[in-house]
Amino acid sequence: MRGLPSILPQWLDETDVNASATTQGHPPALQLTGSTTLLPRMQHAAESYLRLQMFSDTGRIVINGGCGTARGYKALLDGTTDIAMASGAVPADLAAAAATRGLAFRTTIVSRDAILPLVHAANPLDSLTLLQLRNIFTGRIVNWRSLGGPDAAIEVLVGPASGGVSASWRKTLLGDGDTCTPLARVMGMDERLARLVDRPNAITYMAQMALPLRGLKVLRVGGMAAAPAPSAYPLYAPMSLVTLGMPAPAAARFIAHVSAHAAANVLTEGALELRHE
Amino acid sequence: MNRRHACATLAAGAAALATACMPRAPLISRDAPGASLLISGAGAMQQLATALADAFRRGRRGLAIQVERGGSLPAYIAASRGAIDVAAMTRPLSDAEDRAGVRHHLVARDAVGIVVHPSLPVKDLRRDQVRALLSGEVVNWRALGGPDLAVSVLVLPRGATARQSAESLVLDGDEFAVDARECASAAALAAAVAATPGAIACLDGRDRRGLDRAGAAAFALLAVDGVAPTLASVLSGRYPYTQGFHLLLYGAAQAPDDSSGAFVRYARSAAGQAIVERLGFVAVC
Repeated sequence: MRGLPSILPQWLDETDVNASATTQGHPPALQLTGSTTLLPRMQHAAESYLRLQMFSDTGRIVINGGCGTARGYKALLDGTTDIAMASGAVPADLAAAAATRGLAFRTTIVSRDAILPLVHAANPLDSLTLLQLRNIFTGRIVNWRSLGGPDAAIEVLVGPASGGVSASWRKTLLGDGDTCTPLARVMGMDERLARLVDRPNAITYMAQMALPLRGLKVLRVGGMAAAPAPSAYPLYAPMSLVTLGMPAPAAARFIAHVSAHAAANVLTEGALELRHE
Repeated sequence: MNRRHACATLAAGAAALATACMPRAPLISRDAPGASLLISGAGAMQQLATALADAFRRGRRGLAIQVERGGSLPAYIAASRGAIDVAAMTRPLSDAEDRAGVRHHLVARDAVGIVVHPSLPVKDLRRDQVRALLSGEVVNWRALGGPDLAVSVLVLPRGATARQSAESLVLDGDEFAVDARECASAAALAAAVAATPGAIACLDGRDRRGLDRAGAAAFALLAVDGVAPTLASVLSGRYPYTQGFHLLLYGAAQAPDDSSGAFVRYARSAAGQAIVERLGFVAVC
């Protein structure tokens, strides 16, 4: 604790990280890992939390690179992380794995992440109804012509069902009764976005928080964009912070900080983070 | 001898193979009574792993610990085959590597800093610009909105772990410019940057911390993609050249007296994290 108040502002914002930082006598750090989608928001939350500690020393927050929701849950079960960043609901097999140890995942929803249908920038359509989207992803509609587009086969790109965003997309779009078309190509988000840039007849989806690429277009759903009406927009993933068992006091404090931060930002963070350069 | 042999055959490259085969004291015999611990991994982690092992060994009579240098991937493979107890890795796992039974613990962080002469008006670069400068693709600062000044790339000698870290993190595995000027040590490199107005170099956190006050004041540290290497941005991972140091255990959680699990717990404890900081790394546990 020696000299803490005077060195803190320096090592937070000005000084070289390794020059003066010290954890001597500090409480243990908390580590987070998981959802790539939640990663940028948690990085900022961790930094704002650290700034608050100029007056109360509650410990460091360490964010590990996004490795996806499924690996976040695995890290919790392994004991290699304190908090998992997760998109979507807890998968049943992982909940069962926790239960075999007599524990349960404790989930705090910290935001709702809209999932946006995404097409090539040259696609003439700007909006699809929820039913039209559902029919595309189930394979009941296979040609853009029946939607008012060109006479071209629709190429459906989806992520693996184990992914947090993909699971939520399927759940909110298809419900429990429908399944994704077997003709859909299954690939990771980066690959899907890269492919879409080159494929004028393809369609996929993306979490609103994810970083976009050029040459793509977001479709409105039933005439509705995700930005101005986040609570009414129908396609989304609940984003949450998860602990295995009850969170320890330090974890509970950080989760509360994120929740409060999220609530304060709901109105101001509505804008799409798309950059059409 | 089986484990030693397996480890040697897994080590990448003839040089690593030769090193691993050389008899060293204390040699570990797997048949000998008493616990032993075999740690292998990235060269950049050898100093940290050795310091942690030395402290961990104190008070544990009869525990033999061997720390070897092989590389992150060979260590991962060796751990997965039971040839070593702990793999020390300087990178996160891929999806395929993060299998059931793998426990990858982050124990420290560092930041590779991009250092320039303090008079240079450029204070922030994008990653592709840093790469273009260090690889020799951009030879004048004017191309990046700076003054009409030749770019002078300074590097540590080939084989220095800090140089290898920079090549993997900053240059994505490529090499520094062919005409880069070699400096024998971090202190010599810092002095050369201070004496060369067009200089640019990579200096990791340990090396920056090792410099005296005058040495540290003689260069400027750039922000990358708008993010400066502060404690906040390195803990959050937002600084692009943040490096993580991990200890990996392979296999189901073992008995409480298992020395590899105890070693990782020690590395993550307050005592272990104090060693992390003493060596100039950033504590993360």
